[in-house]
Amino acid sequence: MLRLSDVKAYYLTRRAIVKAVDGVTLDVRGNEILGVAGESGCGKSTLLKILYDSLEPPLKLVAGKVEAEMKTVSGKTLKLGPGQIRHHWWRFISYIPQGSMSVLNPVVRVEKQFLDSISRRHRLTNKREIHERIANYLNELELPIEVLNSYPHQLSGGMRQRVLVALGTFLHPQIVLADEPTTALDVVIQKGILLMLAQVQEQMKNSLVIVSHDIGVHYQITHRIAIMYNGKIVEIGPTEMVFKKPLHPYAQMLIQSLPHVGDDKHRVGISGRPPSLIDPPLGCRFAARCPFVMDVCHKEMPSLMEVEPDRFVACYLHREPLQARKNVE
Amino acid sequence: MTVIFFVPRFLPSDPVTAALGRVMSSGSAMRPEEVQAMRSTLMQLYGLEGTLGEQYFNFMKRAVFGGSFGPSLAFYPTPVNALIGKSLPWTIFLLLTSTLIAWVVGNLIGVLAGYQSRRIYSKILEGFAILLYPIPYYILALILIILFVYINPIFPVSFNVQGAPFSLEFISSAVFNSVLPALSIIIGSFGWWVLSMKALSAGIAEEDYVSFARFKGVGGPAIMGRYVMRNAILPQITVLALNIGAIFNGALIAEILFGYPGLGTLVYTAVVQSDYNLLMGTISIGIIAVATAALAIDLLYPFFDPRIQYR
Repeated sequence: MLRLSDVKAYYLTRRAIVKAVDGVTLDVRGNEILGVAGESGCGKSTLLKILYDSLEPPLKLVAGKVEAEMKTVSGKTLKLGPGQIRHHWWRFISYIPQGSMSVLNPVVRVEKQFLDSISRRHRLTNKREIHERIANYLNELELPIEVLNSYPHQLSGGMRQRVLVALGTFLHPQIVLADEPTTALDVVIQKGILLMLAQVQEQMKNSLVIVSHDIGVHYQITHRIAIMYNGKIVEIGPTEMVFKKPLHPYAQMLIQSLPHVGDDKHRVGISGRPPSLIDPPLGCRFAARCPFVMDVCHKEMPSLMEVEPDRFVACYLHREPLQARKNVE
Repeated sequence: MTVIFFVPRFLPSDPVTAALGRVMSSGSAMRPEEVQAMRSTLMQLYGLEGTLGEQYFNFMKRAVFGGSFGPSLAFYPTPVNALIGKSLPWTIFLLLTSTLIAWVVGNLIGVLAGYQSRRIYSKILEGFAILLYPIPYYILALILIILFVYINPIFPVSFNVQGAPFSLEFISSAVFNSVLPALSIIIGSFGWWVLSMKALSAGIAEEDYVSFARFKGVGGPAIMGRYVMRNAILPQITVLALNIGAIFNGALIAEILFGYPGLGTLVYTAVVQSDYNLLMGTISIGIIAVATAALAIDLLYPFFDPRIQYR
């Protein structure tokens, strides 16, 4: 559907080059929920911008390939590269922002903002018909139709987020990107939004990419999870497996931080801070904070390697590639 | 109102002396007793007898409850209300048009400069505004007069309207005569609108809903109009309303320089001739108008900003 191979995207500013995404290989498959996890400032949002093909200066794609395959209405497959994906925004790929931020225009009614994104792409010119379809769709998602006639400030945070989900999925895009869709909402509403997202994905059989620093969110609904650290993906694999047995030390520590019911142990954070994205270390980016650090870690960055079926990790602790092990057996 | 009453009385000149001066200078010789008699007659006529307290009480009774400011002292016995009534339409005509034109043009350029600040044309337009903005108004007006009256005599030196009231000729000559003062006011004020709107819309352009609109694929003009301008214009509406209120103060310098028969000229006359009543009348009108405009904008604001509601 959408594939990134060794993509590097840097913020080229006059004072420094910020290597926010530095050699990321990732594929978004059809009919899956892919989670992208990682702490603040690890390049998650930049990754999302690359996927969404909305690179604006100073952010620039400096290396790597972005390839997308779009199924057209006639059933053909259309190959798209950077700069082309954006022509199919909302039909092929859509974006759900964090709704607690002021992403809705405060002085325009919700319906008008709905129409803004839809009418240009949808060949429906009949206003009545569009209105009917929006109303039906909201009904499907169990949203009251009155929201259309409201101003954003009249809606609660949860309701606004639901509206944004409805807005992002209305045209049945093949890929939906959700940027921190539950952040700043209380847990009950969070769950509602996540269920809504999962339900919509199940109905449409499309791809949903959820970016969140909340590891619990990924545990609840994603099928595969990619864990980012300092501009790189350190581990990617089926969510269940990754949670059961995380391979990368960073992933292990991240997942250990999840509380369990009945467990009142004090949780320890990872000491230290991530290295600067301006001048990253030569070797593994996590080396300075890693409890299993070896000499080799400081010399060269380990590459992402498939160590178990569909499980990739970038760490010298797991250097035996799947293929080699199979040969031994 | 109290302040309006007292401040003119502290002027170093008084209307009676001024009127006497006019009579004396016309050449008629008078004996001192006659002068004294005339002075007291004038005092009586102008309502300036008695203590300041009594005068104040009379003034308040007349102005606040009767809505009348008494006779003008400089144009005795024409009532102040009639003088204002004659000047007010001219001032409203001139200032309302020029304020609105400056507001519309200035805000449009401001949005453009704020939202597309990297484009060449917005830089040029903004530079133009920055260039015009600091020029003192009277310099600007004088430059216009020099350019279009002396060097290139397109427009008349002084205000001179012909034809019967509200005939076609009257209207066209009124418009023609007003072009220059209006132009000076537009140029003088639009720089401010450009710069303030630019600052406002540059701020709005960074808002999340604008970038999200871009992500939605909304076209540039629609974003600029419905997202940036629609939000940035709100504070500008408030300022516009207050400016419209301030119209009733007249445009002092513009009217004097261009010989325009509006409220500004009236205020000027009133000050020069120490015409207490006229001064109080014109200033009161201005204050009432600004206060009314402020109230009106408070009441109208919900129409512009749906977030504000009165219950």
